[in-house]
Amino acid sequence: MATQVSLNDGAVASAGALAIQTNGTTQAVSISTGQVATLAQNPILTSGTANGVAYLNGSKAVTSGSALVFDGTNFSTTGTIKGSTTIGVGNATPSTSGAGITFPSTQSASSNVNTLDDYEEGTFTPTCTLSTPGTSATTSAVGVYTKIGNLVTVTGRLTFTKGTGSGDLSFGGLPFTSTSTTTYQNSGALSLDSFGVAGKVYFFFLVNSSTAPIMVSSTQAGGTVALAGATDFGAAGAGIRYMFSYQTD
Amino acid sequence: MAITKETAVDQITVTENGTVLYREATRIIEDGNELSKTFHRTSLVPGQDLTGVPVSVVAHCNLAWTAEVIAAYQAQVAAQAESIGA
Repeated sequence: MATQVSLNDGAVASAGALAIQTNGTTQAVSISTGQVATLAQNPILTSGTANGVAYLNGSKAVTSGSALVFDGTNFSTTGTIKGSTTIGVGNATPSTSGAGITFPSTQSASSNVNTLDDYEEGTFTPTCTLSTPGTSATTSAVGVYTKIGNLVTVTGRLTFTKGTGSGDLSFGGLPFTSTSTTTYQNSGALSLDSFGVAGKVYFFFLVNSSTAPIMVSSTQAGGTVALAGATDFGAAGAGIRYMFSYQTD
Repeated sequence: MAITKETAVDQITVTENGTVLYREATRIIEDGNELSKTFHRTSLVPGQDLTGVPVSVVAHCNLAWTAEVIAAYQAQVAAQAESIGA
């Protein structure tokens, strides 16, 4: 069995170490087919930079066992991946708190329907307006949202006073526009406080075509559907609490 | 050890019908390291009052909200009201 160790081109080893270095070639160490290189406990691979970089570039797919493979483009493993903190995707800087996946601050949309490509939490300020606003006003308006992929869920409350306003009521200030696909109209539940007319049921109706506001609609017990408006409010302010989900494009 | 709070508009989006959406990011920073970040989003429809809106967003609104865009948006809203059964 032939055993070969080559030290070339003036490699200089420090005390207790072996240096293998070549000039003009990218292959400093060669391991023959079928042979095994064993690293001792806690080995460190470093390219000499401060943080250390190891380059792998194989093309053979793993068919059994557990292994980490880099084929020049993708990392893959036949086992599971365990992370103790956070992982950033799309060049996002991983969060320094908690444990989870950090998405880019601006969505990098995927056309693949099996790909989760966005997550964001935040606040927004909802508004209610009448088609003829007059002195109507929205106060104490708060809202929070969570966007997961193309689904936005909002919840919050506000107080609306119609004043001298009249006409139809709309709800605005949503954090994202709704889908422009006219087929998908969304509705949501509405909780009322001193708002409403006996015999009617109120609910949100999210109108299509990407307009940010949604209309508030009402249906009478008999089934007649009509827009909610100033006539549904008394002179005193009305508290409205809401929670619903809708799709974006 | 200096802790600072910074709020800035980090996203402005103008949709096809003239709706302007923007996001304000509030960051808590300690010695250059971001400790936390929160978002607040706002949407504005064509012709809406811009009192209190950040200057950079107002500039986008003024560019996007031509008389034609405002009229088209109002027509769109009216058509939607009819579709509900007003």
